[in-house]
Amino acid sequence: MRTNEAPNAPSEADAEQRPLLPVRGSAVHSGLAAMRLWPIERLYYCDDCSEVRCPRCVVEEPAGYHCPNCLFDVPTASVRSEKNRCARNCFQCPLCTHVLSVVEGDGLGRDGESVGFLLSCSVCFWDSRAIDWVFEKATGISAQVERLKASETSSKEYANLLDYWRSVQRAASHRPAARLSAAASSAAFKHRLAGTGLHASAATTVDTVPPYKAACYANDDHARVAQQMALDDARSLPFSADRQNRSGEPQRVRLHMKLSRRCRVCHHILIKPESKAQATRFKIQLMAANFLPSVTVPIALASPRSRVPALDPIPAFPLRVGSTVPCVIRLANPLYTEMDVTVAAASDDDVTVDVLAPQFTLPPFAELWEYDEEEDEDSTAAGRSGDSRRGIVHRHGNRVAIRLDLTPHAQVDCLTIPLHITCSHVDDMPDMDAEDAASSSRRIVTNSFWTYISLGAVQQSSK
Amino acid sequence: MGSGFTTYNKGEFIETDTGNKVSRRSLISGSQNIVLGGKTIVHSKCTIRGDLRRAGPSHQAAVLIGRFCSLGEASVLRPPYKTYKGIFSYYPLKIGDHVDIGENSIVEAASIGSHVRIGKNCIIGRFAIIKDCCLIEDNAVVAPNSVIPSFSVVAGGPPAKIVAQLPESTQDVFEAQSKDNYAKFISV
Repeated sequence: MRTNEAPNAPSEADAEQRPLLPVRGSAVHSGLAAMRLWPIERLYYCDDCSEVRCPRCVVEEPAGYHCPNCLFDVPTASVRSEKNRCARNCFQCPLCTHVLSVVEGDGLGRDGESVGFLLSCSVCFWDSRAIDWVFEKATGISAQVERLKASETSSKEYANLLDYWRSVQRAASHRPAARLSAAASSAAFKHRLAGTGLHASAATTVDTVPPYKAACYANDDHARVAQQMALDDARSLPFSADRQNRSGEPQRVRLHMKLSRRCRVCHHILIKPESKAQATRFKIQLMAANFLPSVTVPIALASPRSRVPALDPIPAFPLRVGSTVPCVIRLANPLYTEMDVTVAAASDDDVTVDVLAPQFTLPPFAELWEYDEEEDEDSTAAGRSGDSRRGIVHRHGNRVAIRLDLTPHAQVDCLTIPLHITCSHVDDMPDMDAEDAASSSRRIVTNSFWTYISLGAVQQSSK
Repeated sequence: MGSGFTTYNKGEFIETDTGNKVSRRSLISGSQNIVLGGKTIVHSKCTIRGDLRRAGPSHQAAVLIGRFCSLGEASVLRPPYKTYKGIFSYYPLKIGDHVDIGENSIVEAASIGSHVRIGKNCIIGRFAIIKDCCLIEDNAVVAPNSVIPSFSVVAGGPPAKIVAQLPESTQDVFEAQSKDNYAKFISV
């Protein structure tokens, strides 16, 4: 049982797919709809647009690289030259992918000389003697491996290939203007030719980059490549083989990236992490949970010790077709200001939802309540009875529990009720852009969103 | 969905001045070498080996646990050991705040950061380092000497692998849940 919130932000990508009406309960779980539902913890909030943003309507950009094993912060400038992998001592085991540790060889080798240092896996007990990798010192293993491999033809060829494609890239980045004028002239040329009745034979621009010349490979390599890459062989390979390490050599650990996120519409920054690998704080963190009320289905409203008369908040499970059951949902205000909330339900073929308290006010969040161990019993009996007439079941701190009446009409595997929640609060933050400070200092911010609450299976009525 | 209240008989748990709740049916060895930060719950049949500490006259605690942690039923916390330069020794096991360790899990890590949730039946190998804001899924086997970076979801194994990333709000979510769990763990 969880609540999901669908951002009603019109993102560019989802605009044409976005339903105007809530999707039906059963449709929520079908592929397309399920992809647009996110729990509130995953959603962002752009305070510039006053809109919810889901992970798909934000732009991600790198905010720093680090090795996930040694947690070394790699400067952005050297990430590329290090081929996106850790350039220190972090290697992955070729058999089990665990990170290898550097160990001292056990003193003497077969010939009686010193063995030096090895990479060794503490999970599968593979060690680098299997591929004759023995190191003189325990630090800078990557550099030592580079030196070991520099003489191999494959790495020479790879370096040559990289140089070649860099030159192609350079040439391409200089060319667009030239290509444009060439295309224009050739189009004009074709037009002239058309008048004369002559055919313009495939007048494509010929690449000016010279073809690739192999550095070390001999001519018969082509035959060998063709032999190895026969289609029948390729088909027999499992697809996952691409990601496996087939060389039998340890690979350096891939770098991780910290991401900052921006609103796709206004490019306002939503998430900005601290650049250090070890830090878990964020310089900017605009999460939806800090702006919108959370919606939960409570199991118990009051402590078993408290004297507040408790109403059983859980609807009588299993839900049955045709019988009306009460269901309690609880909203909590994350803001330091009061919030006016309107709850509306969309009834469909599966279920009729009756919201007994369509409008109420959520008290502001105050840290003081965090320390309040006992339930607050200051609300008078008269106030409580007035509340219960209006469908408000329980109040505590910044939370209000309200009652819904559900009448399922059809037998479904998972009953999902869509609720439309509108909340508004007065924003006291001074608006920097406005000239007239007096009028802009208090503006009313209104947010509305759909939330979907899954309540489990509905069974046929027992009658 | 909210979580319900968990109740226990008053005699079953010992409550300390700092709000720790330790089950009388837990097995705690070398309690003078164990530090509990406060408001931490030690469930029944949980084993904490505070007696396994560095040889020699040191004042260092063997097991350090932060605030608002929960050590599940039948979980085992054991300081890691190794032989360094020919000398066998135990090293301290440090656990941050808001750490939830599931039932039947065995922890021999060197350090576990704050806001970490470890599932049921997990094994955290010797000298593993789990950074802040991590989720170790049920039945995962984290290999010895592993480093789990922040915001990782780890599953499977051995060795367990990073399978997903946690959202930026993880710290707030885990903190709220651990405080909620403590507030709802009450005697009757």
